[in-house]
Amino acid sequence: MNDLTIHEQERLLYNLPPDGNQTTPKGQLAAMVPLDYVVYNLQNDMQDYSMQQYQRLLQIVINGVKQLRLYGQPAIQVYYAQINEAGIIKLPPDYLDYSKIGIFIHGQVVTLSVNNAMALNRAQVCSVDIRTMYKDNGFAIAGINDGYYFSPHYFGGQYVGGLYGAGGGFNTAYFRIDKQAQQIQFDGIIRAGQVVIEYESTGVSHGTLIPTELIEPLKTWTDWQRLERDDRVALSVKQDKRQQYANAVRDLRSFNNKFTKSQYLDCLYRHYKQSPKH
Amino acid sequence: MNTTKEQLIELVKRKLAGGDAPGSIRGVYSPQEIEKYLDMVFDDMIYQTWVSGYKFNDFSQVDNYVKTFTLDIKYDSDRDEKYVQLVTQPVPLPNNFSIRQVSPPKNQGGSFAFVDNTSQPIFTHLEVGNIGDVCSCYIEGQRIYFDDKLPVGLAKAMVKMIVPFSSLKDTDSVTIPGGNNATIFMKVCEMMQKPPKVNEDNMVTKQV
Repeated sequence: MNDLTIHEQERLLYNLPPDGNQTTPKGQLAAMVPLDYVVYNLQNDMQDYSMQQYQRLLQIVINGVKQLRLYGQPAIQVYYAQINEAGIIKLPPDYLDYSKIGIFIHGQVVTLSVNNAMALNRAQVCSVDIRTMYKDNGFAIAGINDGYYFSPHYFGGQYVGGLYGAGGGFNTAYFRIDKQAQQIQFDGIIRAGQVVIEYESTGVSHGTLIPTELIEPLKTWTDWQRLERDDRVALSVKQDKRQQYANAVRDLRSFNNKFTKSQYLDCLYRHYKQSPKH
Repeated sequence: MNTTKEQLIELVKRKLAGGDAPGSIRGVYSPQEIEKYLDMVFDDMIYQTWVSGYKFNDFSQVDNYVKTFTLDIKYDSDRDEKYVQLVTQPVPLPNNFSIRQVSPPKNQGGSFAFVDNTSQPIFTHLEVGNIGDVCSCYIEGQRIYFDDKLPVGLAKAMVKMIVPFSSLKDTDSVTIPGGNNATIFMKVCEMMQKPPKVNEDNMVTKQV
């Protein structure tokens, strides 16, 4: 140990990573590419070196991105919204579906529960929502009215233990998606009136970048769609191109669903526990 | 064959004056008439070259006919659109193929997207019209109009296009793809020959 330099001693003592150049190699190709990269790449495959088809092919690529966002690889966006007096939040314009709707507590999203029995109320006066959020003694009336989602605590001088033995789906607040009116309705208690919405977005905007694993599905989609509505093209050709697209989507799903060994072990160990023994 | 326009017309004229030209046209036509017929044959040849390129997915031969122009960008106040005035109308080919490329003079990598004349209503209402960055352009007569994504401050545009034979100067080079050298003379002679006279005795005029 004494033969080592101070630097080497510190490295061993604090278990630092080995010395050497820690920077990433230069000149690596970017993993995220713009949408028109798919168009240029496909045109190169087709040996079409003109710009006559560019706009049409780019629109087909955009259609493909929207399709893949629905069924292959969702693009998750986060929206911190404030409910209005009527307990309503307007959906973002790029909203497709939600993945989490909840309240933000200590760095985590604590989800609220969906209640599709909630009556839809789109009443407005002078473009202002006049709906009333339903609450009973301060609690949401859907579900058990004396349940607490959070840890046991004191209320009104009484100790209130955590809910034991009850099933799931009970919450302090509930929501219902009203997609036709492009809004979400809430009932119940929402702290500070602020809601976190994690939703699946169309994922397309100016400057959109797509990951490498989407390039091949988009190329096969574009190559298929550019001929699909051309009645002069043989059915067998269209079917072949459709199958190529299906194969590419299958590979994409396989890529998205893979997990590492450490993720598997984390999931496995989560279910290990020690219990009191008699 | 690579020659000039003037030389090609002279070659055809000399062939018609003697050689194997049919007697009916030998020494009859002026250079201006020969140029007109060459113009027609040349356009046909360009089209056939395009067909061949389309068939084999190789348009390198078509590119031999391309001429490059650097044109001033002007403003049409009636339409509120910018445009360039072409020196001549391009040869009509399918899918606007005559316009090979429109780009800033010093940035061919930023070429503009060429669209159909009537495609604006469609693209304007799609995402590509809103979020795309590439300027699109379309041809109308002898003008190429640009959309509002034209780079700010761009004063000139470079246009690569296939021009008709008639718009070439006498000293401009003319390239005839291999395999078409004899064809060009034959077709000119065919077009210039008078149609054979119908023998009136063969016509049935008597009513039975």
